[in-house]
Amino acid sequence: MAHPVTDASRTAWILSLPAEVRSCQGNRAGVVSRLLAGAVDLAVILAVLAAGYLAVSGLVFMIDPVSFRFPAPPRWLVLGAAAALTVVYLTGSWTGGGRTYGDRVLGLRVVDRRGTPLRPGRAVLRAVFCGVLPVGVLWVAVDADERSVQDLVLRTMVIYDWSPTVTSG
Amino acid sequence: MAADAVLAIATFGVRAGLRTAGALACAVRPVTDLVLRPENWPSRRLRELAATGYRQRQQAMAEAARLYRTVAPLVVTDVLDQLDLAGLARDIVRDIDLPDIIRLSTGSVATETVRDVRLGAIHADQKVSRWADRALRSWRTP
Repeated sequence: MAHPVTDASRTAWILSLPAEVRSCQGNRAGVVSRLLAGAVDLAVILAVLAAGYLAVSGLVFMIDPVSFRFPAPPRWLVLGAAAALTVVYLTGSWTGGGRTYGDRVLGLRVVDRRGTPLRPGRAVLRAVFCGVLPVGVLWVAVDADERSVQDLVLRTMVIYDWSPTVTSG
Repeated sequence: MAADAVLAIATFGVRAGLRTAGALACAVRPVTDLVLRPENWPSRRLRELAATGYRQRQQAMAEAARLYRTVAPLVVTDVLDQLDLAGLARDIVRDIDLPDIIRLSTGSVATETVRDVRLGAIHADQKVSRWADRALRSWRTP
């Protein structure tokens, strides 16, 4: 559960960070951090998919244990479930606290141009865009302002933010 | 004739003495065997005593083991029935505040690890950014 923080407490928290980290807070994140965060998120999504598959298998086993076999879902169903889960996970994370689990691990936050968490509509579009074109993040390494293709199109940005709570913007 | 009488008395005396001595010898033979043959009596008697004691000890131990196997399960079952193990475990966990210990121990390790990962990623970001600036300088500046 994230809560807004006051300016005083945020200032005190920032002062507790190492100097090299303090100077980065609020800056746009680089490609390595974002790729690592994406890898963590991918692992989360795959883990949830695997858990769902096991749950369905368990249900099938409970219904008919004698002739049980692990279900072999069609490819379209797997891809559809993965896409839906990705959109829901990313949208919920970005609108909720501005960060996915991977962002939380790497100390990143996704915000709009004003520095506030994304609204649902923009979060959905960004989630779909990231799902369709994940390599768009590589543009961060080329762009002078460290923006991905998604950031350029949807006017968003990913910043370093090690604070454990939602910033007031 | 007197000499014959003396000889007969002597003969009877000797026979009586021998008969008495034989009877005495039979009576005291166990004692004499024990006392007069030192090469036999201590080791053999002790071996017999030891063997007897060993057999008695083995019998006593077997009896004790059988008694233990019979009684111990009953005692343990009764003790376990008397104990509230779930409540005892709950009290112990509550007293030692296990969640707090786990939170402190894993939290500090996780915090250090996350901080290292974040710092390493920031350094890598800066290196990539510097390399991109040098490589794309001519492309970025018209």
